[in-house]
Amino acid sequence: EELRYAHVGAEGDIQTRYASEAADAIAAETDGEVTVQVFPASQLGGVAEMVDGVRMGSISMGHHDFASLARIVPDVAVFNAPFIYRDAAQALAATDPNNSPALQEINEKLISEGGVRIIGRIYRGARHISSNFEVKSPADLEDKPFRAVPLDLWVSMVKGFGATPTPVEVSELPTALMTGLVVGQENPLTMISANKLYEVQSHVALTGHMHSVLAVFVNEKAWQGLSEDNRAAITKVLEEKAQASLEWATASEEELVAELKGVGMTVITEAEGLDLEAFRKPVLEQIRADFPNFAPYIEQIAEVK
Amino acid sequence: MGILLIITFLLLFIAGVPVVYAILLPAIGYVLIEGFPIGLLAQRVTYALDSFPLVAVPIFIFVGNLMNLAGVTDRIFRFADTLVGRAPGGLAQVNIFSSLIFSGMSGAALADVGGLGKIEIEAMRKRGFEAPFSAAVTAASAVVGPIFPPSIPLIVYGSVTSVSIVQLLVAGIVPALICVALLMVTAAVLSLRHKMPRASRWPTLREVGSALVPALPALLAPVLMISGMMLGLFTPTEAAAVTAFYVILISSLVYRELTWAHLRDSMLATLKSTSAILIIVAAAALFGWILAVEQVPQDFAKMILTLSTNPIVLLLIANLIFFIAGMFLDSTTATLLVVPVIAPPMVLAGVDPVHLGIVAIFNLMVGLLTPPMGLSLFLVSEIAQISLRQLLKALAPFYVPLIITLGIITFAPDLVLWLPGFLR
Amino acid sequence: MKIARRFVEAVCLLLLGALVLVPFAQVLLRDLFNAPIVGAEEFTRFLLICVVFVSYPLVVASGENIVMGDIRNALPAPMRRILNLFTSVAAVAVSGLIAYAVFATIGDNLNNATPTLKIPFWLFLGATFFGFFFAAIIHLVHLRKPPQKSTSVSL
Ligand code: NA
Ligand code: NA
Repeated sequence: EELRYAHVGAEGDIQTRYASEAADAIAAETDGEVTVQVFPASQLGGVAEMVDGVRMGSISMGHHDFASLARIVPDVAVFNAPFIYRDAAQALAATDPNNSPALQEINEKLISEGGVRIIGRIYRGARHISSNFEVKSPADLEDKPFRAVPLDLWVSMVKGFGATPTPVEVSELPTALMTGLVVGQENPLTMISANKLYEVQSHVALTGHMHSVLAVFVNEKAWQGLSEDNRAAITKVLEEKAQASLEWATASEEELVAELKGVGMTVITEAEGLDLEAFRKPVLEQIRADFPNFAPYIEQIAEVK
Repeated sequence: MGILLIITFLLLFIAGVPVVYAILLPAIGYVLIEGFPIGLLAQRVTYALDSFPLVAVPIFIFVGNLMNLAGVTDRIFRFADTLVGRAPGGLAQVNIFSSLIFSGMSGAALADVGGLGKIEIEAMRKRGFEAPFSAAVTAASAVVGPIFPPSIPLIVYGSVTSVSIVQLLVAGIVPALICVALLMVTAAVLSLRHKMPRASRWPTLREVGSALVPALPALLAPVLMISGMMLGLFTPTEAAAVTAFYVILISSLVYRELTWAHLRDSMLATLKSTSAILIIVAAAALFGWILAVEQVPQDFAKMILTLSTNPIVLLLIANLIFFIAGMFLDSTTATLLVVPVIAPPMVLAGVDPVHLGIVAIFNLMVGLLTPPMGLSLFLVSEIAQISLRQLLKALAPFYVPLIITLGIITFAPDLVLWLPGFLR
Repeated sequence: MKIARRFVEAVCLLLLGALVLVPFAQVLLRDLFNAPIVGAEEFTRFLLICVVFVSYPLVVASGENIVMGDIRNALPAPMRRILNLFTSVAAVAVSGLIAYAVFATIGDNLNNATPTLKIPFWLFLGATFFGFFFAAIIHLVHLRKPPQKSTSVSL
C-alpha cells in the first residue's frame, strides 16, 4: 500500500524531519509493503483542507496541532490547552494513543464521528512569548494587540494574557510585528529562529505556556485496510519517532536560546523576574470559563505520570 | 500523467474553451480515473477561496470601478494633463503615469488594457496622436502598474506562495518608478522626433493649483493605502477596504458625483469581474493539488536544480519561463499554474521570495506584449482598430525601457529589496 | 428568469457590501477603539466564497467567462462551429459534475464548521453548489447560441 502523508511544516522544522524519517522507517519496518509518500509545506493544501482530506480519504494521513481536529470533535483541543502539562515528557505521555485514557476516549469519538484516528504524536517544543519590550507578567501586555492563531483556544489564551487577540497570517507576521500591527506573538523557539522573528523582536520570555504536541492522524478506512502486522509496525515506528522528537526538541531548545541571545535578543526567565504564576492563573481561569467541557480531561491529563 | 494533464489543459485553452473549464475538465477526468473521492472536487474548489488576502481582490476591483464612474479618474487625468501636457509627449506622459496607479487594479492585466486602456487611447486620439502610437504607449505602460500598489497580481502571488503581501507591494515601488521614468523618456524622444502634439504652453502656478485642488483627494488614495500598510495601521486587505470607503467618501461628499446608481453599477461590474477571476483561482487549486500528488513540482525542482544552483542563473531561467508563460496566459492564470512549480526550487537555492515575486509578475506582463501570442497585443490592436503590424512597429522602441527594467529587476535585488528592508 | 436574476443580483450586492464593510469596521474598531471583532476575518472569508460562487451564474449568463478566443476566431467557419458546440457541451458537463460532487459532499459535512464563528460548512458548499448548478442550467439553455464573447478576454 502507498500512503499519502501531508503536513504544513516547512524545511528545517522538527515536524518535517519527523515525517520524512518516519516514512523511511515505515518502509523498512514493513519490508516495503507500506510506502509513505510525504507532501510537506502545504503542498496538498492548508490545515483545514488537510484535515478534511484525511477525513474523506483523498489524503491518507497527516499531522498538525490537536486543535486542528476540533472541527470533528471540539474536545480534542484540550491537548493544546496552555499550562496543563507539568513538563515535556509528561506532555508526550498524556498524548500517547496507546496508553493515555484521555486520548483514547477522544480517539474513539474521532473515529466514529470523523473516520479519523490518531496514531502518533510529535513533540515540537514549548511555545514562548516574543515581544518588542520587556514582558514579565500579564500587566506588561495589558490591552496591547497580540497575535492570536485564529482558533478559539488561542483567542481565549491571549485574553488570559491580558492582551487584545489580533489574528495575523503567518506570512504577514514579521511585517505585522515590524509595523506594530501586533506588538508580540507566541511560538516555539524553532519557529522564531526559522522565520527570523528576532530581526523584528527584541525580547523573548520563556513562558513555555504551551507544550506544542502535534497529533499524527490517519484515515480510518486506509488504516483498517492495512494488515495487523503492518499496523503494529507503523505504531512502533511512530512511538520511536515521538521519543526521538522529544530529544531533538530538548537538545535544540538550549541551542536556540544561545542562538537568540547571540543575535541580540534579551531572554527572560524566572531568574530575570518572569512571573509564570501571574500568567498561569488568569489563563487557566479564562480557559475554564470558555471551555467548561475540558475539565474532566484536564484532570485525567494531570494524573498521567 | 501530470504532463498529460498539462497538455490537455493547453489544448482546451487554445481551442477557446473558457479557462475555468479548460482547467477543470482534465482535473475531473483525473479524479474519476484514479478513483479519488469526488468530495475532493468540492473541497478544493471551495476551500481555495477561503483566504483573507484574496478578499482584497473584489475590493480593489470595486475601488477601480468606482473611481472610473464617480469622476475620480477624470480628475487625476486632468491634473496630470495640466501638469505635464506641455512636456514632449504631452498626453502620452499622462497615459504612462496614470497606469502606475490604475493598472493592476482589475485582477487581469487584459482587463486593465480593456478598461483604462480604451479611455486612454480615445483621449490621445482626440488630442491628435496617431492611433498606433497611442496604442503602443497604452500597451507598454500597462506593464508597469501591476508591480506598483494597488496590484491584484501581487496579492495573488503572495497568497499562492505565502510571501508577505505588504512586502511584495512595497518592493515594486522603486522598480516601477524607474520603469515609468524610462518609458516617459522614450515617449518624449519619440514625440520630439515625430513632432507630436503637446499643449501650447506650460501651465501657470495658479492653473496647476486649481487642477490640483480637485485632484488632491483622489491622489491621496494610494498614499493613504501605502502609508497605512507601512505604519501597521492595517493589512493589505483592510487597506483595500479603507481605500474603498475613502473613495466613496470623497466622491460623494467632496466631488458630489456619486449616485446610488453609480454605486450599484460599479458593484455589479465588480461582482462579475471578481467571480470570473476567482473562479479560475478555485479551479487552479484543484489542478495544482493533482500536479502535487503527481509530483510534477518536485520533479521539476529536481530538474532545475541539476541545471544549476546559482541564484543568478536560476533567476534567468525563471525569467525565461515566466516570460513564455506570459505570452500564452493571462497574469492570474499564469501566476496560479506556473508559480507553485517554479518558486520552491528557486527559494531553496537562495533566491529571495519577494524579489522573485517582482521578477515573476513583471515578466508575465512583458510576456503579454510579446509576439507571436501576446494576448495584450491582440486586445490593444482591437481596441485601437489597427493591425498587429502597425502596433508592433509603434511598440518596438518601447521594448527597450521594458527590457532595461527587467534587467535591473533581475540583477539588482538590493534595489528591489531596499524598501521592504525597512519592514523586516 | 428576469425576477430570478434580479434576486440573485440583490443577494450578491448585499454580500459584496458586507465584504467591504466588515474589514473597514474592523480597522476602525481595532485602531481607534482597541476593540476588534473576534472572527471578523473568518466572516469575511466566508463572504468571499459566497460572493464568488453566488455571482458565477451572472458571469455565465452574460458570457463573461475569461476565454482566449483568438485562435478559434481565425479558424474556418465549420471548424469554429464544431469547437463552439464542443465548448458548450464541455461547459454543461463540467459545471454539472462539480455541482453533483458538491451536492454529494454536503451530507458528509453537516457537523463541520469554522473554528471561531461556527459557520456551518454546508453553507460554503451550498454557495459552490448554487454557482455551478445554475451555471450548468444556463449553459444548457445557451447550448446552441452561447453569448460568450470570443475576443481575447472579455471582462
Ligand atoms: Na497607460
Ligand atoms: Na498599480
